This record gives sequence, structure tokens and C-alpha cells, in this order.
Amino acid sequence: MALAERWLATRFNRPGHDIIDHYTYAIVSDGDLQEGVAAEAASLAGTLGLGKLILIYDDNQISIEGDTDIAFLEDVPRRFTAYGWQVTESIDGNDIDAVASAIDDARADTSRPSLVVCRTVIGYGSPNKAGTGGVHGAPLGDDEVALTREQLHWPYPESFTVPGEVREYLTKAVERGRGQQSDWDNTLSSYRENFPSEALRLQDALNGALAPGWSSGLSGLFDDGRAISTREASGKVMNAISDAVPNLIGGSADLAPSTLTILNSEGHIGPGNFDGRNLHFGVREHAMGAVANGIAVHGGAIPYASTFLIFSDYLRPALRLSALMEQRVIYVFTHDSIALGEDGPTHQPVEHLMSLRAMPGLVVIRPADATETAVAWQAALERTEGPTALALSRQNLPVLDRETLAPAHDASRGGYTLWESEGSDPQVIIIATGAEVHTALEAARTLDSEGIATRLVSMPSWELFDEQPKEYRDAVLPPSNRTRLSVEAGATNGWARYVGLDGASIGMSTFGASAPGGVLLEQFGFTAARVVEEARNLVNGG
Amino acid sequence: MANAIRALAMDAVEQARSGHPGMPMGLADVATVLFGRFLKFDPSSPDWPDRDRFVLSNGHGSMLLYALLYLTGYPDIDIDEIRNFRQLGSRTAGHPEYGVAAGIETTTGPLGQGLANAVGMALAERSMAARFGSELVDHHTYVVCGDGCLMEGISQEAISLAGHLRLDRLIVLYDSNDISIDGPTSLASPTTLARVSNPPVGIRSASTATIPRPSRRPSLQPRPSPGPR
Repeated sequence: MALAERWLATRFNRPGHDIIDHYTYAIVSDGDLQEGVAAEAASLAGTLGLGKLILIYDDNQISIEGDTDIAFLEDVPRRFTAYGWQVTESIDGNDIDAVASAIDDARADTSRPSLVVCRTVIGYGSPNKAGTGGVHGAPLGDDEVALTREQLHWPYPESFTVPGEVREYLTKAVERGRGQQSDWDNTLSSYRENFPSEALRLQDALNGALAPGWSSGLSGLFDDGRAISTREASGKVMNAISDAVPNLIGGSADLAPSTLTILNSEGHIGPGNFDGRNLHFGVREHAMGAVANGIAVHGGAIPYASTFLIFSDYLRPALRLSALMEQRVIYVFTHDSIALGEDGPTHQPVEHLMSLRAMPGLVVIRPADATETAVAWQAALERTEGPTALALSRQNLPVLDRETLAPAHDASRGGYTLWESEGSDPQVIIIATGAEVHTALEAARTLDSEGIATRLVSMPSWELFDEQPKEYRDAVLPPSNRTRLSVEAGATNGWARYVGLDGASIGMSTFGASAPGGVLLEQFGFTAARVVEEARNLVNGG
Repeated sequence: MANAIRALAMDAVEQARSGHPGMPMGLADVATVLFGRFLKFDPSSPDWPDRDRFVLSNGHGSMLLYALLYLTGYPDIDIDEIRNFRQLGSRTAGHPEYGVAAGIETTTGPLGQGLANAVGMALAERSMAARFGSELVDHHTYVVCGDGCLMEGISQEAISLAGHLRLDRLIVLYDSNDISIDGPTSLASPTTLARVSNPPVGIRSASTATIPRPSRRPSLQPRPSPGPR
């Protein structure tokens, strides 16, 4: 959020018109600060110099299992100083004036994020339970509630009673805010008059709107027919739409030369410099995902985050929250199978595609070639109601010949008949995704030449396919045809959904291995010959 | 010995036309000092329970480990294995795999995992020493890690835990080379506290790399060169 504020301010503020100028306050607990993601985020914030980020650390010395002494004794202030933060002296968090003064100090330092360390007593006011682990997550109980009212001199025995003076106090804060908001409205009017085109762009940025015709740069992008990996195609797509979608910002967790997610004509955001659209998250996948969520909910930019598909594991909690919060965050995951080769099983995804498909609210798209990749990016950008994960190949793939095959645009329906034998109904339906599609296509043509009528369905996205009307889905996968074979270099759990009890799946049931990618694809049976054999068996056996 | 490590690393990566030569070449001197002068190990008894543990957390530098295992005579890594680096069926996978060769103490590759595993190993050592006595259990756990490992949140969690538990037989050798895939680390990290400088360095016991403890301050400082190898 603090990053989005700085980015928007850099882009849109003009002399005399600080149209974007606000702080981000976060209250954090001991538990928060023990989590690795907080360390990653704090490190990143310190590096970038997010001076209008203020963390208020509720230092209450208690966690669920007891005193933090049992597991968390480190010198947090010194750690944050090492990250490049301003750290206030520890103050009594139950002392109103000390807190106000500390926040003033924090606001004054605009070059570094600030940590305000507040020593508090958990459950302050409860005579018997304050300062204990028990008060963290359970009701106090009637007796203790009564004793607490006494200790706090809160003379209202009836629950849910709030005296008028509280409202009066808060009214002042609300009025102050209303005043600031109306000042801002004036600034906005003046901004509209003096900087009309910026004002329109700001509006679009805040609405998250895409300009009409924004995707026109994509047509013909891959007409040269040169074989190209879908990760490289994705990079070309991003750069082709970069000007038309000026609010797309993001980066990679230290893998940009491999994920190919750099916007070439844009600057790089770095320490104290927010004029750019390329972010270097460092080897901090989880913070990257969480930062992307923060940008999304703040508004003003469309975030993308990139790493290898295998390292989606390192940011999964954030990705899940993108889905839960229905935010448009685009996750660009490359190196999507054993085909990545020599880096070996620690880097080769197996269960990841299925496990991402299992997550509600997330659309997963694994394009078969460059042309499907352009369609995938369109779908992701237009999907304002939630995140999209793109699964892309490391290896080069042929560009599907759209003169003889179905149009690329059909990929937006999640699954479509790419090619089929002429004349008769198919005896076998092969469903393939991503990099396996071209292999399956070769197999389909071979089967056809053997007199076995075959249909090849490319299914880049289960979620987009399932959203289609039943008539469409039944047209692609007729319920009467149960001779179906799936081909995907990943776990097969779940493919029964489309291939049924009478179908079969070619996939991975073990981890991969360290060897050149081509060798592994052969070794594990992702070849046209194997697809032909399995399909033949289904047709003959069934 | 250090140059032997460098040569093997370069050659293997060339042969495979794939791999990461930089880190093994940069860290060869540190590895030479560690294995040559400090590490308690016996290649003919790779399962010796009281051996020191060595973990290469930045597992992409796997040729460093394989070269060390080969040069010190571990049984499973011969020169053919080095030649078959990153090839199907070899014991020298792109990233070290536990169970495939003696001397590989844990599988690494995803950054930060090795460092956290090492904390576990050091914890196990202390736990067993408490139960069975220091005559039988007294060894160190050495872990080499890089900038990448330390940026990962898991490393901060592991370091915090190790410091908290005062695992004084855990020694982290931080290969501070200021480079990561996207470029100089200054792009994405502020300067950190303690660094091990390259080449030849002294090795001191440290409870953590970045979290100071009141009673035992970390001391990762350079010592004069140990002399010809």
C-alpha cells in the first residue's frame, strides 16, 4: 500500500497539487514479526525507503503458547534498524501521550519506514487475566468482565453502552478528516482544470479501467511463426501492451532474466526512486505476493508477480488471499514442468497445477503456444474479480498454425477443439494442456492416418472452461464419448473429471530428475508415440 | 585444492552446458579451509553419527559439494559422476539430493531450506548431547548460504530460532558476493550486519549470522590467510 502511494504520487502529483499524499499504518504483533514473510517485507520496505509506512508494534510479550520468552527473544529494534528503518525507543503503549509523540516522530521521518515499539499489556484492564496467554483468544467470562469494568472505572454495567463524550471525542477526528477530504476535492478540481489529461489518467488508474482497444497491439504479434517458449511469448505480450496498460506494474523474485517479465521501456523502482514500473522483489516470494495484494487493495495499479511455478509454494498464502479477496493480481509462473531439465526435481513442478486448480477463486491458464499466451494475458487483465496464474514453459514451442487449426481466440473459453479428423465423430478425444498440446497434435494426426478418428482438445484453463454454458462444454466433450485421454506433464489427480472412468491420463506420478529437458520428456513418456499408443489402447480395449 | 575445486566446477558445467559455476569458484577457498582444517569427517565412515555436518544451503552451487566429496574420497562420487553432472541417472544432480550419495546431508535447492535444516541438525546434536553426554556427541554443523538464502523469510525464522536456542555449535558461512540473479544485491537489500569476506577467512563460532545475543556476540571476522594450500 505504501509502495502504491509512492508510485501514484510520483506519477501524478504536480506542482501545488499533491493529489496523492497519505500514510499507511499497520499494527503488528509478536506473531506477525516471527513470520518470515514479515522479515522479507520489512527488508524490502527498508531498501525502498518507504518513508510513509508506519508499523506500530504491539510488544505485549505474549503468544498463544505463553510468554514470548519461550520462542522469541531477539532484539527486534536492532533487526529493523539493520533493515534500514527508523525505530523509536520502546514506549509505554498504554500511555496516550507517549504514543502520540512517537507517532509524530515516525511521521516526521519521510525517508525511512518507521517502527514504533509499544510495550502493552495484553488484556489491559482485566485484573486477573491481563498479561496472560489465556486472554488472547477466549471470552473473559461474566465475572472477569465485571471486575474489568471496575478496574477501568467504566461505570456502565449494561453491555454495549457507549457514553456521549466518546462520540464527541471521535467527532473531532471525523470532522478533521472531512475537512481534509473536502480540501482534497478542491485540489482535485484544480488538478482537473490545470492538468486535464493527468486527471483522466489518474481516474483510470484508480478505477482500474482498461482503455478501449488496449489489446490491439497483440494482433499479429506472433505471425512470424518462430518457435518460442510461452515464457518468452508472455514477455513479448507484456511489452506489446505496456503503453496501452500504463498502470501494470510488478516484477519477479530475483528471476527476471528467466521469467522474462521486464517491461523494457520502463524504469526500475529502487531505493527512494518510484519512477518506474519494474520492481525487484529480491528472493522474497512470499513478500512479493503480499505486496502485490497490498497494491491491489490500495488501488491505482494492476500488480503482477513472477517466479518459477515451483516457487508458487513460497508465496501460496498470499496467493490464496488474492483469491479470497477477489483481487486482480496476475501471477506469472514459468518453468512449469520437468521439461525445465537439469535443475532437477527440487525445481520441477509436479503437483502444482492441480493444487492451484483446487484453490477456489483462482483461474489457472496454461497456454499451448505464443498465440494462446496472448489470449491468456487478455483474460487475466480483464478478470477484475480475482487473480489469475499463468503457467508458462521454459522450452521453445512451435506456434500453432491458426490457418489450419481453430482460432487462438477460442482459448478464452478455457477449452476448445483445436483439431479433429474430418468426416466422422471422433473415436477418441485427447485433451492436452500447454507444452504437451503440440506433442498431442502430432499424435492425433498419426492416429488419424491410421484410420482412428481423433479429436484434439486444447484445455488451457479448467476454470474458464467450467464457466462456459453446458451446451458449449458438451459440444467440445460430448457426454456420449467416453474414450478420452489427457496429456499433461503434471500430477493426474483430478483429470478423471474430464476423462471419466473409462478414460486414461498421461502424467507424472513421481518427482522428476536432473537431466536435459528433452531427455526427461522422453524418459517420462511425454512423446507423440506414447500418446498414440495409449489412445490406440483405449480405442481397442474399450 | 581451491583451484582444483574451481577447475572441476568449470569443467562440469561446461560439459553439461548447464549449471552455476560462479558460487563454487567464489567459495572454493572457504571450502578448502573448512574441509582442510576444521571439519570433523571421515569419507570411509560417512554415517559416523558424531561427524560434523556440512550443508550447502545455496544448493545451486552443487558442484562445490560434489568437488569436495570427490577430492576427499567419498565413495559415491568418482570422476565419472563429475563428468555426468546434470545427466540422467547420475548422482550429481543439478541440486544436491539426499540419499543419492554419501556426504550429502540434506536436499537443497529452494533457497533457505538448507539453512533451516541445519538449525534442526544443530538442535538434534545439542539434544542428543544432553541425553548421551559430550563424550559421545560433540560436533558442529556448518552451513554455507548466500544472499539469496538470507532474503528468504524462512532464513529469518530459522536464524531467529537458532539464536533463541543459543545453538552455539551452528556456524553459518555467509557467502557475501553482492550478486543475485537480477543484479547487484543493492537493488533489493540494505547492507546487512556481518559478512564473511572472500578469499581466505577465519571461522568463528557464531550463534546466528545477524541477530546478536547479549552473552555471545557473533564474530564473523576475517583472519589472516592460513598459508599455502
